[in-house]
Amino acid sequence: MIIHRGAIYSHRTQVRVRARIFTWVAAAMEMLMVVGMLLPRLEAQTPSAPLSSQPQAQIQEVLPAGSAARGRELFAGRVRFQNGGPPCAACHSIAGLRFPNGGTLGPNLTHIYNKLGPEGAPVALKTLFFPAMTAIYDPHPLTPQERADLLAFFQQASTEPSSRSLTPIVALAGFGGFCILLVITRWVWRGRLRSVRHRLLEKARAQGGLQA
Amino acid sequence: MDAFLFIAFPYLALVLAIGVGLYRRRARPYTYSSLSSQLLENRKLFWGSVPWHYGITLILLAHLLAAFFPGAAAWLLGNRIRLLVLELTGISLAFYALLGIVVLIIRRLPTASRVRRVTSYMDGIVLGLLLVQVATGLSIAIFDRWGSLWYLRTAVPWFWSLAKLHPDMSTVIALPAFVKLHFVLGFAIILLFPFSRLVHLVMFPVQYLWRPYQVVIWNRRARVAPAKTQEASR
Repeated sequence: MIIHRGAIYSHRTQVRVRARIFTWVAAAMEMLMVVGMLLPRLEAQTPSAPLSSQPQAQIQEVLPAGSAARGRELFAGRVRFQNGGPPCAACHSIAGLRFPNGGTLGPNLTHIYNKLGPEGAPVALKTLFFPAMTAIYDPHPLTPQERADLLAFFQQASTEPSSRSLTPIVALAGFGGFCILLVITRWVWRGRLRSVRHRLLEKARAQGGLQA
Repeated sequence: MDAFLFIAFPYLALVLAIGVGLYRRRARPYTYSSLSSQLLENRKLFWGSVPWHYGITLILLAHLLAAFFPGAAAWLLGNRIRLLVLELTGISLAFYALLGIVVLIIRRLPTASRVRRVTSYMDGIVLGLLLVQVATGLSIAIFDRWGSLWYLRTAVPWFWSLAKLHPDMSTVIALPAFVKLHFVLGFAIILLFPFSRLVHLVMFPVQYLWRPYQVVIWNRRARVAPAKTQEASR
């Protein structure tokens, strides 16, 4: 008999338990192999032809007149995209947005219009061929009007200086919240039962009854 | 490799977590605990256990609720003030949980200590994994903003594709390696669930809510103010 974490098990039970765990692991490995066999099919199903390889002439189109103000609302997510795409500000920052600006997962788009040029920018907005974006926006494409508005906003933002990074402020504010949590913790549990033995020892030492 | 990490591995982790978890519950019900070491060391435990458990429980709940109700989460985060408040709350809680796990690790480090004696290899692996997971989560929240928003369009569709048995990892494979590490480690922790002390996660004592109340009576004299004691002794 062996004692394990408060429960008593015979050696035979131990062996049986181990054997069953091995069976589970073996079953899981088998499943893994089945998934492994299915994977090539799954990958074959996913469309992988990059849109960027299409000739630009096919993609270029005449966009309606865009409004920079409306583009900013779309970028920030205050006005939703018609087809349900996520707002740009979830991942990107840009000059001209109100505090606390957009995200930092993707690059800052303040000078994107200058970088891609008046011909490249509309194509980039239409195809959104950036690796992390294709899968997200393919089922939710931007409408021509939305693209025109965003383009006008990008053009306007490109004339402004880059927005300041908010990362230090966010980190500091989070750390401040953490300090508040520590104070709350101390206060809520102020009456907790602390170590009794330590207090007894300290008391005994203070009275000279115990040599350190 | 991506196909293994983002399709096969999550299924493997979930199947083992549920299968072995149920099996361990039946075969070894008395091991369904986290083996308390409170009696062996209590001082550091407070600043480890309390921040860790409150921090990680709320963060985990936020991840799960947003995954189950992405529409409601998108509405909640749709305003810049609400977004900022929720993000900062999350970051504060992540710092809080990080402090907790660091204290819990330091507590078990000294080789001659009593707590070290009851620490298994698996405890070490679990603590290390949780530390890395919280540290990556916190740095993603600070440096790759706004995680709460893009989580709804990257990880959540991936989770649902796995749940619907029609796996589609296209929304996550192009994310930065650091973010992908956080995802994979999450499933690694799920994988370790049935083999480690993490099983205590499902032992939340909900029956306490409806069980009959118990009266606790302290069998010791009430503390008397020092001034009164001196008067009484005269």
